[in-house]
Amino acid sequence: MSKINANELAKQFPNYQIIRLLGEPGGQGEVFLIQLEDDSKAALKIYYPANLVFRINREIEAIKQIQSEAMVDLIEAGTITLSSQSCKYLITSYIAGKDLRTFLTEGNRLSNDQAVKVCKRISKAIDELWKKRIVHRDIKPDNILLSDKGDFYLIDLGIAKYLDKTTLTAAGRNPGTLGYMSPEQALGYRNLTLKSDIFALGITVFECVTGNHPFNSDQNLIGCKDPQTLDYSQFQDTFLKDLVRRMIRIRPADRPSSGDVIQKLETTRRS
Amino acid sequence: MSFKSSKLPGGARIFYQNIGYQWNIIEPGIQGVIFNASGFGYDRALERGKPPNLPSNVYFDPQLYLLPLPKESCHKSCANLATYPWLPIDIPRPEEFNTPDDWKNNLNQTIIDNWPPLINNQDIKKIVMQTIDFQLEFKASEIIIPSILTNSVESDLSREMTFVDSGLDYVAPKGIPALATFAISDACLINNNPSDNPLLQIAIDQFTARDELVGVYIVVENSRGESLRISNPKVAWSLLEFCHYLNKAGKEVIVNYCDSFGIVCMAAGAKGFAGGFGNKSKRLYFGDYQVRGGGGAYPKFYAHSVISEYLPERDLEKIRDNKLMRLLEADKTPASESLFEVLNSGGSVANLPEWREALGNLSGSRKHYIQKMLEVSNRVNGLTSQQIENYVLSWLQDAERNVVYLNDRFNEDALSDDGRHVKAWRSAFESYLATLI
Repeated sequence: MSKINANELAKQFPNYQIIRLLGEPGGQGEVFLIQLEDDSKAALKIYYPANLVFRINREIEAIKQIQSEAMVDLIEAGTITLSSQSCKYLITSYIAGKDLRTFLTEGNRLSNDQAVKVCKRISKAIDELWKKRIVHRDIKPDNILLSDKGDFYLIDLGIAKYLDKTTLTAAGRNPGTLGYMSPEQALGYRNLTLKSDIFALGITVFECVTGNHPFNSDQNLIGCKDPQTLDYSQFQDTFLKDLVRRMIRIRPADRPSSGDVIQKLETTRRS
Repeated sequence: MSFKSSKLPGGARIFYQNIGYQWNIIEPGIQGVIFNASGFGYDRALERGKPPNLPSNVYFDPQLYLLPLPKESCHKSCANLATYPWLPIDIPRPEEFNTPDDWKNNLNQTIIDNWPPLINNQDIKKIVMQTIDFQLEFKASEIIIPSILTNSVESDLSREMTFVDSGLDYVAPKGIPALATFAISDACLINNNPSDNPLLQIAIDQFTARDELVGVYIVVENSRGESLRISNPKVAWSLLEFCHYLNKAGKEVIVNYCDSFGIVCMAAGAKGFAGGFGNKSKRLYFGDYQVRGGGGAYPKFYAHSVISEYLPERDLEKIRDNKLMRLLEADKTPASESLFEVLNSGGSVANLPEWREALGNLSGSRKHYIQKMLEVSNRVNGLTSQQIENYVLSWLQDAERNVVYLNDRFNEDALSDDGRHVKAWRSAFESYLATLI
């Protein structure tokens, strides 16, 4: 149920039609499905007032900079007043579908072909982000959308970090989600690279193929338990299994880059 | 602009000679040179032209990692660096003064008043671009993207990576190959094994994650100057681990200022190493940049088989008198043939002009050093990775054995070089082999 008054919201966007609430991602705000003046659908994200403004600005800035087929397009961003409080909002292209967390909760598993596809598409998004020296830092099933057309999209750049920007958190602590953070992110390294996102993607793919988190969602096990000893028996293809195994290696330098992942998948699929 | 990459076929491994203020010492057969900005000023670099016998691999190191040099004692090097247009210091021009001494005095005062130049984050891009433009004009075969010295273990390398990314933003669209400088103080490497050193791991992660980067030019500062060479096994091991991971990620690594430990680095994946005979070419120790009076250094014979340097008269004659010259026989080069002849015939090195133990009489020992480095790098060049590892392991173990023997033998009247670093090198290489290979 929405915490935002629908009438008040509609008044703020007189040119758009608010269709329905889509969700409340991460407790940061609410996302509504809306119809634009040209009848196309879009997603309107309203951030709750208590949210840190610079985090929101960061997400907006990141989406503005990145052109990727695996990420939503920015349509509009700004500030509105709701219940006498100033709220940031973001309108992006709408992807009809569900996030992979919901997909998993419903008892689904990714097929081998879907796993290859998610690996490739999200690696492309990671690659585009890294070209701008942005690290997403929160890749997990909740932040990957599976569209009704079968495509995958990386969402929620709220804690993405630019390499040359100051950190958002106190030294020694990194935002992110326990169970998906790379060992270096969990250790509080402030200067992460795309290899950290590759790690989280590897964990996500493992979970979506097997239905089980490789480390039982226990961040303490990450970095201690050798990823080579995990149960990969549910992976049908050896090449995908080997790739995921490399993606979740403890040391960043042992993991493939996004370019390596894309190349490996394209080469293997061709042969 | 046409651009010639220095990449040699088959991953050739190269010894690069460091070039400072002396440009006429380039040894025939040398495959690569690195001009060090602090050794000469901007005008000389541009106006005098380079020596005619330059090899195909020419680098220019802007040496921004020397910005922490103490200005009072190292004003000469600071002044040389300040002449380059990328450093924000307005230095007086010689033509503005009546006499050269007036100009020098004013220059020194300007350096003392303005050193170190402050580099704000917003200036980094401009500075890096200027150093690159200069290197292109200098016709360097590969660009060295400069960076500052990392001397705090608390660093997350954000500032250093701003230098790297500024350079990559400039060269990558033009297809110009570039190496990023990673200048790190040994103080940041001395306390941890490499796998437990967050700073080293961040560095490996950051450099390997940049696809546009051809490689890394790594210099390790010798912060205490107590030895001419790396003498701490953790520092040595860290360097090997860095080379290994960079090489594994397809990056070239050139190591500077680590003397013949560069050969060990090649066994860990480095493409090459740079050095030279003088202290400033052998190691990066700020004390070596101090302006001193006196007549320079004594000649020394580099004995590769024991990885030590001996004074020609005081040490080598003693070794000869104890009938131990066979330990050094394999270290003979064309430049040291006459030295061996004199020693083996029972003569005195004092009668041999090019090796006589006099201050500043360095031409023979310099030539010998370079020839030996060339010989060894050429030798490992034709070997497989496994063969280089075997060669280096044998070399280090044999050298350690010989050093122990020589130290024991000359316990009462010690040789000038006790070779204590050899154990550290051997230990580091064995640790490296045990953990990464």
